[in-house]
Amino acid sequence: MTTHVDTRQPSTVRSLAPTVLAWVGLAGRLYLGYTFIKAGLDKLPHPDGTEAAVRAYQLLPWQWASSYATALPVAELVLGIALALGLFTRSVAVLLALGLCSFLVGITSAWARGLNIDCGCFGGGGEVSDPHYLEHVLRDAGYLAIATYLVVVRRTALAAGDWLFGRRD
Amino acid sequence: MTEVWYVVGLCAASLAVLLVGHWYVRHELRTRTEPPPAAVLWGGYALVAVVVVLGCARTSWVVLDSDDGTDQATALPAHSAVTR
Repeated sequence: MTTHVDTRQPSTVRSLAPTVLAWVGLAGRLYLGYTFIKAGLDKLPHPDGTEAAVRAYQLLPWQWASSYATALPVAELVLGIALALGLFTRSVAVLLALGLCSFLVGITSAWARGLNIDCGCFGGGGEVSDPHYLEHVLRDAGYLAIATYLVVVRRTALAAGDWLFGRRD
Repeated sequence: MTEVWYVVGLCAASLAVLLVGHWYVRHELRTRTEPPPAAVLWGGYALVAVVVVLGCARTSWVVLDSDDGTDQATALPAHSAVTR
């Protein structure tokens, strides 16, 4: 005699999982959005300081540093707001992940070259006597993990994009 | 020597990013119910790939250049008011 064992999860658990993932996604969206909005707002009023921080990395050609320092806070602000609101969440998360990869490259390359600089991620920057490279790398890796989660999870709760474009995928 | 190993790691990480991006685009086209046009996804991937390759090349050059102490890649012009 064979007995049939139902190994499927109860329907409530199956229906709950996407909901939990979506609300975790909302938390990640708000946290990462707030972080980038804060980074943009901290840098925006101090373009000269941001430019000096960019130059301290000694990575970009000298002529490009000014344009990069002008564009970076604006991009951080726009992407942060879009993420917090849930507009084009996955596309924004991909862009933020690529940006975070570039920040990680900048920090680790300064570390490898033996430079003593502050990352300048939230204003400030330039030479310091006691750089915190490991701390900054781990922090950015955490942000990168959140951005990756937002790309993978597809749906987040309370996303303005869903209301505006009526997405139900 | 640290710089050389850094560049090796950077190139490996860049290659990993390109491979993951390639997988991601194919996965999106295969699984989404309403995928964006393939040309848009592959165009975006090509743009990202160019940035990754150029970024990797530039960073590798700067890091290896700093190894010999000349630092030609980012040398400031003589009239620069910015101090490093």
